[in-house]
Amino acid sequence: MEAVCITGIGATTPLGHSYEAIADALIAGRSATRLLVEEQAGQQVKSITSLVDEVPLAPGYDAAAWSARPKLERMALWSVGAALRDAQLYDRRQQLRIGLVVGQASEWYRHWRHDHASGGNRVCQPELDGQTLASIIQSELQIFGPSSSVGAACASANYAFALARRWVELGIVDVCIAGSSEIACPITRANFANLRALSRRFDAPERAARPFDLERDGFVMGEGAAMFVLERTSSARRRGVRNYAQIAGFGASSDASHMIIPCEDPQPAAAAMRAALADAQVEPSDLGYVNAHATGTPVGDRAEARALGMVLGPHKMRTPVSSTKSMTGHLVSAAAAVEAIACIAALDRQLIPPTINLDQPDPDCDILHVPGRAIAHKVDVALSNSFGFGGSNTSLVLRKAC
Amino acid sequence: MDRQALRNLLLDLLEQETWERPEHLDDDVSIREELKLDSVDLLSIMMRVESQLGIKLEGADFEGVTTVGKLLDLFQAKLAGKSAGKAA
Amino acid sequence: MLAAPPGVKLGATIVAAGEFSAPYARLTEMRRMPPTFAGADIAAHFLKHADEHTIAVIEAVRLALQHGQLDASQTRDWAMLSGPRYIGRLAAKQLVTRFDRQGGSSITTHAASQYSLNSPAAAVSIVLGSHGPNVGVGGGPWGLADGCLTALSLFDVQAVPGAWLLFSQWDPEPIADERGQPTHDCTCHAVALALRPGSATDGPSLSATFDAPGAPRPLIRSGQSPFDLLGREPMVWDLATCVRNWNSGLPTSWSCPLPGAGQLDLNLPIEAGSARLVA
Repeated sequence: MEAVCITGIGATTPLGHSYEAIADALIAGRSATRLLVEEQAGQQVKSITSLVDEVPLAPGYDAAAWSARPKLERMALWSVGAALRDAQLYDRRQQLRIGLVVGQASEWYRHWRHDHASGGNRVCQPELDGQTLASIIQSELQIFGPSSSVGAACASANYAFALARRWVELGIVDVCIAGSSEIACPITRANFANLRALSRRFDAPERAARPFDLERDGFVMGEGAAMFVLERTSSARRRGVRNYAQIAGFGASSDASHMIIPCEDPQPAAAAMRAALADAQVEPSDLGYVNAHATGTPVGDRAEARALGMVLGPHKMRTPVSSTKSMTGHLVSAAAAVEAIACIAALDRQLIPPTINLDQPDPDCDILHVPGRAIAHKVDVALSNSFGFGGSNTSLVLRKAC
Repeated sequence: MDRQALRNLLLDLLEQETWERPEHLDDDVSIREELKLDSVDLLSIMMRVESQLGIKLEGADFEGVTTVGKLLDLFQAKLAGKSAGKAA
Repeated sequence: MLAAPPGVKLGATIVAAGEFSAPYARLTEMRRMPPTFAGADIAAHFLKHADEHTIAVIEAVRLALQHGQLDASQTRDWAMLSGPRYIGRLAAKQLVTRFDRQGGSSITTHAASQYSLNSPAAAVSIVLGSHGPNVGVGGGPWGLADGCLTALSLFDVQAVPGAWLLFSQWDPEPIADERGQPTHDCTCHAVALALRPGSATDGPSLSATFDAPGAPRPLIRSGQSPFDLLGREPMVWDLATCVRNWNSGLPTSWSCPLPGAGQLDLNLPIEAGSARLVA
């Protein structure tokens, strides 16, 4: 089966609006998390989050009309357009079969909440719900081909990658766009806050996201979008465009345990990782970097560390693991998409992005950490874990372009 | 609120949350193993306890609280602290 | 660009199918009936916070197992794909109203896990004790096509021995009051298809046939939805009718366009000697 690679990246995140800007920020160990104070029902409510302050204006749009669009759409449209331009396909897009797979954990629930906050009542007007985010992207950007919306909570974008890769391999598309867009809306943050899943380090918000740290007290919810153009490596070579990385393998499993709490048994998560490695035909010893799902919750980080121990075995203390959620926050639907950028940065620059705020690694998370600062390391193959609500575990293997 | 009243409150909240009413709720009943409460169930119940008793429960409060007896001790301590605060 | 082989086709064998429809009131009753049919240790309140889509889908799975004479243990490592159309609509009205009035503390801890695209799939994975992948697909307009395409593609993505493809949809879409209850009668329809990779030529199958490269490409005007070009959208109850007929011993088939790609075909013949053969 011919290799499929990434030839275009478009993104808008709290750390920047291009691959290079985001990669620079991740390698520099920059935090995007900050305190937000909002009024809710007449009360001031604090939360820590990482937001996209300003989505760049996509070319061809009137500024006022652009601002009137929901943020989720603007982030998606900007990122898809930028990815196509990056892949040097934007001007030819109407001549190509372009597939589109968008990761969306709960598209409609978010859509109704946002609409309500804007004064609408779409939740009670189903006749108006005629377009998906994917169809809006297709219509606005004039791209045509098969499309799918996939959702597995925090694992959504990894599924998008897997499906897009398959469509390219099958030849039912010329290229395929995969990625996700996510907004950190107040109701979702309230849901997680009530679960005691969010950090409450209000006195030091830039240090709140601290996966694997002994003093971790939850995650920081973030927002952003990242979209990728996938095509056959031979095609990329022929066109003379940049090959960021090969999508080499994918694995998935279910905990079959609980709708919210991750399974304490590491076997299901380990199974997803092993399946991804087998799909990529690599051994654990080939891994130069693992981008962990680790969000900063006591239970989840520990469970993942155990699973990594099972998979890496004797190579555990030679394989650097970091969680870039320490910098970006947890982008939920878009987490795996942004974390693919982190893996690409590692493959590209041979530098491992750190887990910042990792002052005292939890002894129960006994893996090779990258605390505080990026390290130089040989990385030919990277693994990106994303484990979602409902026990949906995914792992993606990315291989250095050659 | 005396200990038996707190026990009855806990029984009612358990039934509301889990749709099952334990036959007995002695002090030595284990929260996880015998009541089979997971952390989300426990959280929901504790949020209601907070609301009903007007107390605040933090994560650290639950360290070592593995039985019904220890949970009732915690509620009584919080209520006593609340009263002391009012008296001061 | 590399030319792809013309008419690429993906297929799966349908080994069982189930359909279930119920009004809101019935689903509310079923909320108190933990789905223990597969032998897993399911708590009494497992469905307490579930969306009605999930409740209906689980019952469709149970009926599919029954009709297909399958034991749940035979689907233990299967993938689960759920396409709940507009899941969370009933709950969303209540949540946004509460949020406005009481702020974040009023928001249930279960929303994210129960009103997501993969929530029914995740629930079924727990009920069946299956450790295969679980993912949501579609969830909105043309979600049926979306889900079928993804299920067929997924077989080649991940080596799973089978997959449950689960669809659900209200008729009509419920308009909720502030308590999250429908203001009118509405019925939730659910379909569960049990699929195995690869399809026999004449047997029960789901397949996707893709347009050859160079096939005429429709012009989508700016602001126009790609869906506007496709004709009538297939609904879950269309699929449910096919499944009901098949389970009653009637051969049936169904097709719909695959947006941007080709065509989907569902073929449910009655095989000689099968339990479904009408005497």
